Amino acid sequence: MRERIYTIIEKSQDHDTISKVYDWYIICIACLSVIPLMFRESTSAITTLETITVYLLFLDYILRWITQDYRAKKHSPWAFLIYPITPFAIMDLISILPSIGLLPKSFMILRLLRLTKVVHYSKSFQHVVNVFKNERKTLLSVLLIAIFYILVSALIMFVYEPKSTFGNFFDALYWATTALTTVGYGDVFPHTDIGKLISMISSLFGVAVIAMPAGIVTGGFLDEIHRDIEEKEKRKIERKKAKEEALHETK
Amino acid sequence: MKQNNVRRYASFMLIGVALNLGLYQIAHIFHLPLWMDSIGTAYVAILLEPTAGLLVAFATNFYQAAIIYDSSSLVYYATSAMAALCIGILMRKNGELCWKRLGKAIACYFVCATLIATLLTIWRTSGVPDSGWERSFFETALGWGLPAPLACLYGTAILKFFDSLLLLVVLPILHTCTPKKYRTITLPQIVSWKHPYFHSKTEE
Repeated sequence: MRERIYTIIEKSQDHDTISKVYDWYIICIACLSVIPLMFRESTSAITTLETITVYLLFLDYILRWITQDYRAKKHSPWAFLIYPITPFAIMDLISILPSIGLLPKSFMILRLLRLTKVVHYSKSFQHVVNVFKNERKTLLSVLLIAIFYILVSALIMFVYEPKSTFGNFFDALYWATTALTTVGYGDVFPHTDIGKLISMISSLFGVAVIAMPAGIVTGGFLDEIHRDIEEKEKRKIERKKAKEEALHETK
Repeated sequence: MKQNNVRRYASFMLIGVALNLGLYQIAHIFHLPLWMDSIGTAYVAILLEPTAGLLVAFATNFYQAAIIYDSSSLVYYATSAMAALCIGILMRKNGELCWKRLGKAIACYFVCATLIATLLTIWRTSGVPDSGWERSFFETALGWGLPAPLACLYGTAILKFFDSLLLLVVLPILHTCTPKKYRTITLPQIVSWKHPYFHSKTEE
């Protein structure tokens, strides 16, 4: 029984329809379970939705726990004992606890961790995660450049601008970040000429800094999709070959 | 699992849930100092396997939360799960059902379930039980001068003790009433380090 449960709750293989249905079911439940967060006052319908979704997510947690030995490929009681302290299990439990009154109301936002299930099961999210993994060096260097520029421009602003505009360094950091990302809320702006010059450079530099990672991620995403399609086609051809061979042998 | 086996598992798990809910309602209607909502769980854990018992306990707990209580009662699943785990696992020796172990298994269930339920009540309500009988025993213990956590333990233990006694009587009867062809004869044991099942699998 546990072996079958394990194949169902794990990420679906091409031929396992029940497992595929289970993946979609968990994604739907995870999405539904955050709906109560959108309402300030709770109605009976919201409470019912909360109860049902929490229970279904908890069932998934239990099923994962009782099949942990198959996942860990280690048939020993340790597999079961270790499961609650694995990162995925901790995240699952923390996302459930605020709904059952074991954590104070202020921890309600932890329920958003349920959405990690969507990330876990969704192929598109997996592609994005893979892109970030593959391009982490490039993205990290762009991020470092951005952070360095934000710090330098914030320091210049903080030194040259009057106290009335940038009361503390955090204000300067806030301005530098909004200027570099070209958001520019306009609530804090420079008054001196040097400040205005830095602002102009930030806007120009910001376009380049923001466009670079966007291009890297888009390129990587397309590569991932192409790779996925190629793998699918390869598998198709292999299955076809295997079928033909089987047919040939029976003849 | 083969189709016949699936049908057998599904039928007995349904019977287990019905037993849990039916007996729970009886205890509720007659105001008995018992929960009686783990008998079906233990029965299925013995008859089929502990995993099936865990699922029966979950279904029972879900029904109770949706109809009678709310999602906060989910935490008490841990106590129902103890019935499936303690009785389903400890009753088996090398995977085979061993009735000599019934007393030990139920004693283990009593201790584990009482401790877990008490700790959960202390965490949830600072040790004040919210069910009628538990509250009554809790207040009696407070009257003796016991501190609140111990009084909570006492209140929880009395109900669990009666539950365990009932399990001790009812389980053999239920098992005897079940036709032999529906009983699971052997299961791979999942708690013994020395069991060949694990060694053979690990070596693979």
